[in-house]
Amino acid sequence: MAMVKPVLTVDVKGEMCPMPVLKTRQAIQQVKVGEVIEVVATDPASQPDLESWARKTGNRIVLVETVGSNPVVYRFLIERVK
Amino acid sequence: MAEEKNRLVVVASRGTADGLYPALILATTAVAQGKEAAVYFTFGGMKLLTKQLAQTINPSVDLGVSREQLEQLLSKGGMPSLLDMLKMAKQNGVKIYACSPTMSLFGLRKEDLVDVVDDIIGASTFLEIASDPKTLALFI
Repeated sequence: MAMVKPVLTVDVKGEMCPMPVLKTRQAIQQVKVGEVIEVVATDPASQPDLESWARKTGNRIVLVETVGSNPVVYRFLIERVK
Repeated sequence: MAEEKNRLVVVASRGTADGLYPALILATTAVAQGKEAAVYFTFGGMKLLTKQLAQTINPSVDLGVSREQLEQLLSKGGMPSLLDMLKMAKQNGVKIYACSPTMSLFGLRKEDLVDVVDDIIGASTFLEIASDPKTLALFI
């Protein structure tokens, strides 16, 4: 699973709620079911918000990791499920 | 048979930036989560739907920053202007309702409204929408 290659990257570093969720949704609609997108964000709410969004929309967060510090960057891999 | 969706309806009653942003943020996010969403603009909130007033909306005194300061802070966070946020909400499928009694009070006609309004409704229609068991209604 770690080898999953995202077909699209959404860079929302520096952007505040609700932009990470809105831009993730736009991106996921552009890819095919089964494909994976990458989202990178600095908003600390992006993790709970994207997890909630994924639960509600039935998409799957394949990976969440934090990279670096000051600011911490949250990196997500999200698979379009439907 | 169409599956009935969960829905969020927000009453936007305040004509300040900090009164209107949360309404639009919640409604737009609800649509992103696969819900239906609507914002019912009433009283002060109707400023945003009124062509002559939509660009003049200030933050509340309570927020404690000037309009310029707030605009700077918001753009730093990638946040669109209120009017762009309204248009984005509409494009994403948020239903935009104008309040008919507010329009009567202030002598507003349909032509005075920003071109995003789905319908002009009153309390009775709003309550019917809000009373649906799959609907969450919030007053901001």
